Amino acid sequence: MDRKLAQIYFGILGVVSLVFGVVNILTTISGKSLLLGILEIPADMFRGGWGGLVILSAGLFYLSGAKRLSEIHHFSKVVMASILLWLIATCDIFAMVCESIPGGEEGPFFNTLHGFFAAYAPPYKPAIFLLPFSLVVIYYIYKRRSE
Amino acid sequence: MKIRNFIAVLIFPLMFSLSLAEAHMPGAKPPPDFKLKPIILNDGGRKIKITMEDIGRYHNERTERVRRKLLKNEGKSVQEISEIIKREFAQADGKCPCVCCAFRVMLLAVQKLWSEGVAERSDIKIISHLPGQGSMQCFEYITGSGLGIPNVQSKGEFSLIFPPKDKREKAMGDIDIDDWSFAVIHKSTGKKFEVQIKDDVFPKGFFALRKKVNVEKTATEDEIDRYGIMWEEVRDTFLTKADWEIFEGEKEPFPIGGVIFFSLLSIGVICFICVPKVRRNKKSFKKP
Amino acid sequence: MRLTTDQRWGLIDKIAKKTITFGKYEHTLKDALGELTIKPLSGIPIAIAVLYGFWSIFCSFAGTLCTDGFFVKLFDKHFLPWAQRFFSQLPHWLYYILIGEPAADNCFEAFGVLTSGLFVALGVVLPAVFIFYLMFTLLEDIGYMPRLAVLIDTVMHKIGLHGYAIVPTILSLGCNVPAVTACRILETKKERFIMMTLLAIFIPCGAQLGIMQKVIPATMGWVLLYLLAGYFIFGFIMHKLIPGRSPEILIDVPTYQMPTFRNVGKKLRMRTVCFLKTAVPFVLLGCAVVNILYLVGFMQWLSNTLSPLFVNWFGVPKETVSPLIAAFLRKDLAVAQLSVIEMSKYQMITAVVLVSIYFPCVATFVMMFKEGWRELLGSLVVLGTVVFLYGGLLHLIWMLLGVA
Repeated sequence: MDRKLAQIYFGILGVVSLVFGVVNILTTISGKSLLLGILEIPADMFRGGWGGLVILSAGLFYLSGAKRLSEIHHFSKVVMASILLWLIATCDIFAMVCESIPGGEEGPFFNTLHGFFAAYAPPYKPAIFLLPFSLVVIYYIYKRRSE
Repeated sequence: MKIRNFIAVLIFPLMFSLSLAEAHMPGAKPPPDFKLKPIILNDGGRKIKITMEDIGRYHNERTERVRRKLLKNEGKSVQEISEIIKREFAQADGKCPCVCCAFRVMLLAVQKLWSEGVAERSDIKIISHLPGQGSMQCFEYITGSGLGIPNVQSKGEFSLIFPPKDKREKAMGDIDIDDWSFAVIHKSTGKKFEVQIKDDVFPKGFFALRKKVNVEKTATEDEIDRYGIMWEEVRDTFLTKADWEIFEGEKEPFPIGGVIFFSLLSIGVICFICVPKVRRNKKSFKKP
Repeated sequence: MRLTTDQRWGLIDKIAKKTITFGKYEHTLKDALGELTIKPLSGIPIAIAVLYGFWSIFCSFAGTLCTDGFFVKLFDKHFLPWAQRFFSQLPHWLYYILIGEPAADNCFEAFGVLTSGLFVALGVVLPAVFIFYLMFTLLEDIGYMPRLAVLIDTVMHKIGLHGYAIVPTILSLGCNVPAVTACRILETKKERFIMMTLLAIFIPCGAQLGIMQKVIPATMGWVLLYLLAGYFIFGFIMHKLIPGRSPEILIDVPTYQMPTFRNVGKKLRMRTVCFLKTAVPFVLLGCAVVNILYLVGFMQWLSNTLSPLFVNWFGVPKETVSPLIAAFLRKDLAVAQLSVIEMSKYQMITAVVLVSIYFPCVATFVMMFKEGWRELLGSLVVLGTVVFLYGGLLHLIWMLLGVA
């Protein structure tokens, strides 16, 4: 039952990642970034195109691995997909951290408290939304280890 | 006829024709996507919604009308006038910087002065220092005091404060940042909302270049192109930026979203570092 | 008692049967992940993701945080005004060499030894090199580099190298000097020659990357793409023309492991200190020499002499000659000098590509000389040919596109 649930969960996550990746690439080709509430899909070649390609790969890994989670090689694909999403999300968060610390061109050396928190304000890129969902794989790693 | 009225009669059409160049920028790129709420007013018992598009259309129609008149006075034929109008107004949407600015001013003023309930059209009084056709027509449309506005049931008041005598040449299109100040009055309560546009809304050298292009007509091709880019930048700023980025005295809202995200991030990092350590300590504690 | 060979093998079998237990090896998650990074179908997307992470962290740390966030303010708002005041009593020529343009309001455009020299070395290049070496060391210690070598082996064989040539290639993105030394891991003379030539010509170092990111962020991707294309095209040509062997790769692929702070710290300190000791004196010396050449009018003469070649063949303004001469001494300063010359986006791409491929910086030149003067001479001949052909080809592409 648990395995079935995991298959469905990672299958859905794979589809969502795939869709995000494709939308990212299409947005980059169109050249116009998309803003949907607190979700921002960038249109630049680097974060949009290259990052979108990585998210698309993560989606494909999830879908390929979710078929037979009991088998180690398939499970490793799911883990690798999560690692790819963590990589993209970490890069986005690191970029936010690097923007939040200095005070800007005309400002002081270090940012004000207001400016510091403003750097973490929405909108956010797709990988940051997928990050908490991809962390579920850690539970399954520990479960597999204990089994 | 009083001297003041005579000068007003003389200045007005000159300002009109000069600011026409400002109001209308042939070849300008379309504005970016923007989300501006409509202004909701009570007009003689019925609710009306005034959008940016409505005012843009109105401003466009009046500008076109004036342009036709000017071309007719120049002696152009009906066909020539049609061709020129078609060419100049092909992609015009009426959203010039003055119009966009005035709309933003009204949105903020209605929010501040009529925070509870809907504003009455007849209860609005607007005082502007900006002698630009776009802003004037926007305020006229909102107060219902302009020419050719359909279905007006009640009217508010709008007045333009002319620059003082010694700075009268300012009225000839040579405007600067001081002219971008407005006051909106809630007549029944007497409450007044005054607002000044921020300096950094306008790129460096905007007003000097504007004078060269529109007033002195001595700008080079390069300068005209540069002015066009600046014009679009100012328009886009009024359409897309937040209130605190446009108006003096408006405070940037505290980034609650950023605080929440940063807290979640910190909790996540602490868990990532501490939980494996706790588990390791538990395991070593359990071992005999 | 002497045993025959057969008897010996029989005895070995008996001992082995009594002492060795055979079982089924079950792949762990680590093994499975390791396999994924080696197989081409899964390994290539992972390599693309790793490169994305590398590049993103490099740009955020070096560009956004260190250079734009702190060093620009420190140097432009505090150091430069102080230096301009403190050295204001010096004779004009000495002031020009040490501080640069008197009217400069930022260190980047002053071009003095103590202003641009120190700013570029410490404010732009040092953070770039630091973060580059940190990430490279982490990838090495995790165990990813041998896997990348295996993945890229087939492609590298096309240019006469094998997969492990990826190590000097990536090292070269930090600084060419240790990358030239790293060429010693390649077995044959042919491989070492090809590698050294390619990285001296087509791989921009961390200093150049840092400056490119600051000066031409929008077109940097295109510049790197052209350099990558040139790396493979000219690598292929050299592989066909140069006699010699290109043996297969034979490396031990370790399992993935957690890097230790101590190891990473040691390697990072060693590489960064080595860079500072080698590169910073050359930056300052390069700055001083270039300023002297400007003062005596040599640059102007050279610019006028070589301008027909640059304007007609390469399609760039004749003012780019001076930065190209300066590029021999410090390529990063040359890119900075190019940024103040008025030219179109396409001319800028050509100029930056030319600066990148034109000549290894003097530090790399000295290193290559140490490896062998014959190899250096050979590299210079290839370099001259490549600059002439590749630069002309770029100009031709722009002409065909109608933008030149």
